[in-house]
Amino acid sequence: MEQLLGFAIPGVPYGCAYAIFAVGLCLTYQTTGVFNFGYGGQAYASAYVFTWLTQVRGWSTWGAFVFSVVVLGPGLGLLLDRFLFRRIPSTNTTAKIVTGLSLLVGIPSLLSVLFGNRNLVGAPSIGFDPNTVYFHLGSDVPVNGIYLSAVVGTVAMLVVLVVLLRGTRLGLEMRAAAESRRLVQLDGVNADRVTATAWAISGLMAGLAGVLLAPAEATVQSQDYITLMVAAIAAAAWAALRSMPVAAVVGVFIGVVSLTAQGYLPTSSLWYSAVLPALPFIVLVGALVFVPGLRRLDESKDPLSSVDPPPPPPTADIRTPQIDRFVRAGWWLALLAFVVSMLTWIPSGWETVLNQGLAYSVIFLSITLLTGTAGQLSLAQATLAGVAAFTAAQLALHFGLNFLVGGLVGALAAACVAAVLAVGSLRLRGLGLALMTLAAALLFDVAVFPAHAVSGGTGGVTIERRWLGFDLAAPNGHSYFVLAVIVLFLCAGGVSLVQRGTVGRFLAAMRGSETGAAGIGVNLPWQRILAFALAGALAGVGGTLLVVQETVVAPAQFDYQLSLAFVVIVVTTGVGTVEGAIQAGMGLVVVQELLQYAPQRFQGLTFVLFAAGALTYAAHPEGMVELEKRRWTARAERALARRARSTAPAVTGRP
Amino acid sequence: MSAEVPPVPPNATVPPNATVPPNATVLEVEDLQAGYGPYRALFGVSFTVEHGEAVALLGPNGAGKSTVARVVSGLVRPSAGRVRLEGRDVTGFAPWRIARAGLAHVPEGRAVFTTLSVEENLVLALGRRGSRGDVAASLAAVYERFGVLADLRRHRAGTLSGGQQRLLSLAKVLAVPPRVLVADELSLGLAPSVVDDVYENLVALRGAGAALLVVEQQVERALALASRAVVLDHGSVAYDGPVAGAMEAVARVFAGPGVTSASGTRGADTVGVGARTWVAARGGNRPMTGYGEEPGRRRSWRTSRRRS
Repeated sequence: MEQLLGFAIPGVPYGCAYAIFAVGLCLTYQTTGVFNFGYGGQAYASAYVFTWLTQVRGWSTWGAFVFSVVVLGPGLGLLLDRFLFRRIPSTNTTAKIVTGLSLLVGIPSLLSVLFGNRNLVGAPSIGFDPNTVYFHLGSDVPVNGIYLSAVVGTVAMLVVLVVLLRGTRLGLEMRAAAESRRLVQLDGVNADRVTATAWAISGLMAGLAGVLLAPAEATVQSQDYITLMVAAIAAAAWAALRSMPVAAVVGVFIGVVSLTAQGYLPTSSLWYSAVLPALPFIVLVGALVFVPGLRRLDESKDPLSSVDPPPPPPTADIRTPQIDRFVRAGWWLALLAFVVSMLTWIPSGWETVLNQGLAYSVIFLSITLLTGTAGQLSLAQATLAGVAAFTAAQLALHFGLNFLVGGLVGALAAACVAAVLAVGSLRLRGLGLALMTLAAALLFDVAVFPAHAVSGGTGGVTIERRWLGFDLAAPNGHSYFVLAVIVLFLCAGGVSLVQRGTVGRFLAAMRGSETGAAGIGVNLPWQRILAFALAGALAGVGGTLLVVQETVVAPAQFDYQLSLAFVVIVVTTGVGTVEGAIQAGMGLVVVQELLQYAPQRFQGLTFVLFAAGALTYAAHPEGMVELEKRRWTARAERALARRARSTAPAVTGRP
Repeated sequence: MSAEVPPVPPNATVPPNATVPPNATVLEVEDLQAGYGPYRALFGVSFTVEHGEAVALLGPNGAGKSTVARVVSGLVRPSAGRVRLEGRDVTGFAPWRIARAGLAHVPEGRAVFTTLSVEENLVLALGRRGSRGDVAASLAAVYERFGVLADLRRHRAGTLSGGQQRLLSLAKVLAVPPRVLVADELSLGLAPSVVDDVYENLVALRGAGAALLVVEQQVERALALASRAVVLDHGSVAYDGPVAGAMEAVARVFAGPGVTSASGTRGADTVGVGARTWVAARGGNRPMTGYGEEPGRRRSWRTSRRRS
């Protein structure tokens, strides 16, 4: 018993940290209707500023606390509401998820740009003194200030929030406004003010959580906060984003169980190295499978959503034939010019960079197919790319299989994994589906990819790069480029054919309305599995292509955070079209390369830029590039119309 | 504002507004134009609703009835025209301001908060327009009137049947009697006996001094309640006058432009010019579409990019 307590008690502060975040997630979801992935980013921002003010600027602890929690926290929440979430129609789940993700990716990067890459250590505690042992539990389990702060903070927060949400008129108005900002106004409630209040409270909670947890780790790292978010998501999922006490209990449970198990399991066992780190994701998957409330998350819809104007069609579908011919010819010319330039004058440094862009474009095509055409959100595309790459690498290593053949086998393996994932989440959609794919990505990230049999540890597997007898690594050879351009061309053509064919129409019908599609006889489960499998195969091909260039396959290349960033990037440039994916791939590598020339602190700016781009998704779900295309097409058509009128004024007159 | 509203007895009177004389125009709509993105729905709609009067707003699918209701309650911002409530210009006001000024809108279809309980839905409605009196007493009055809601008070509104949800949204409005009620398709999806109930409540509300604007596809019911009718066709007023002449206009408009242009007798004496010019601009004999379109323009996003 003593031993059990000794192992379990240290888990309590971790569990409380999960609980605080989980409760915050539930609060934000219920009062704003947004599952805020950016919550971890908000908490990190407050913790970072708090530590920076006390350790670097020499502020007093309470002064820094007031600024970072009472001013910065709610202020950030209000900014998010005013400029982002207020603009998203309440029924657009994808836009909410993408915006939240871009905050999770963007806020830490933005902080390192603003403050430089500094290591902030020694955040002061705002609660009990962490070094004092206040009392002993049982006979010799010490309880110090960290434990006390965490427990007292969690319980206090829980009580205050439950009372606010269930017992006050403001809570009632916030819950109503989360369901429909329009309908609640018909009851005479100022929805803008209520929602802004909800965001301010949620921001305050995020800030408080961040600062409360800052002293628990030696340095303030965004990584810790993102990991916290994942466990918190698992806890919130068990509560169906509804019951805050349940979320808190599950949060504490995850913390306590993982530390207790850590104490009992031998460190050399597979359980210790693979299963234990994956515990939060196993809990999350369990919630997604067993909690029926999660399947109905997206069912409550704004009854007044028809007040919103319908979304615009893609530019390519509505431009006049005159311009269309011109644009199509332009694309072929651009391709030709690109190929010729790569083969002739582009320096080899930039050729390497652009080659990488080609490989990314193939991966991004999978998002075009899955999200743009089928309307399904997957946060695991980088992981699927990794599945294929590691499969190909291991086949080459053990059986001497050519990497190209191995790549195809790998793509098949990725397709199978994606199909299994689709089968496992058939009953989920929208947010539930996004969480399921995220859990899968994390599972691979902590439990599969680092395994010695898969990647040979963190160092990765070194591979040979030969293609039809050509050395792909030859410094001045263009063979890799030729391979990449052919693969991309085939994949882009394939996606384009699928989009225009029968399958594409079925998938588009499913995106438009699952009920409607089922009504006209579309086999929804099958179409969804097919879309996932095709997208998985595409991601696999792209992933293999990517690692062929780098000669090493390492787990870090397929980090789950990349999956999040991928979705954000593609959505920014335009998720509906094939050229959107290519623009995203080339844009990513070019921006990243250009930033090499900027000072060190701006390295993180790529993700900030793309996150900022994704934030425009709220107002323009078709993507920034698509928006600009529409503007330019409109301009060109107006110019054409003017010219037509000046040459033949009599013809265009209407009765 | 009326700060002290007593608990609602079954036939409460609407709190009088001292600044408005009886028989004054309560709701005035002038040359309204509105739409959704590039799609235009209203092309200059004008009519008035007098104090204590019930007006039926009629028309075929896509005529713009719901859009008129939404513009009046502030849900859709008009691109041109004016909305006056008791003489006060409320054009472009946020919906909650208009609601607090005494206009209640029961939107089409399901219009309750599905994740809140029945009682929470009612409490939310009771708190508006300054009446924070005895909520429990008001609730009791509502439950006495709508017995079925009393049994379901702890249930989530989303678990109610469609008819019960409609009743709940009507009960929300009647909990604090409004000065103007805009009811959009109240009868939709309800059993005939329930519709009778609903219309009895509307008659009582009118008797209590509220002005009603009733959007309805069941023409007979609406005309039985109303003293005046406004018939819309393709976003324009095709008829505005006493109930007696409305049936003829409705028949003409519902039959569609194809029928009338072929016979060549559109009845210029009763039918307004809006519909006819629209038909002429379209070439006279096109099938009706979901939205009215601006004459002579291609239906496309590019034509109205600036507005979006």
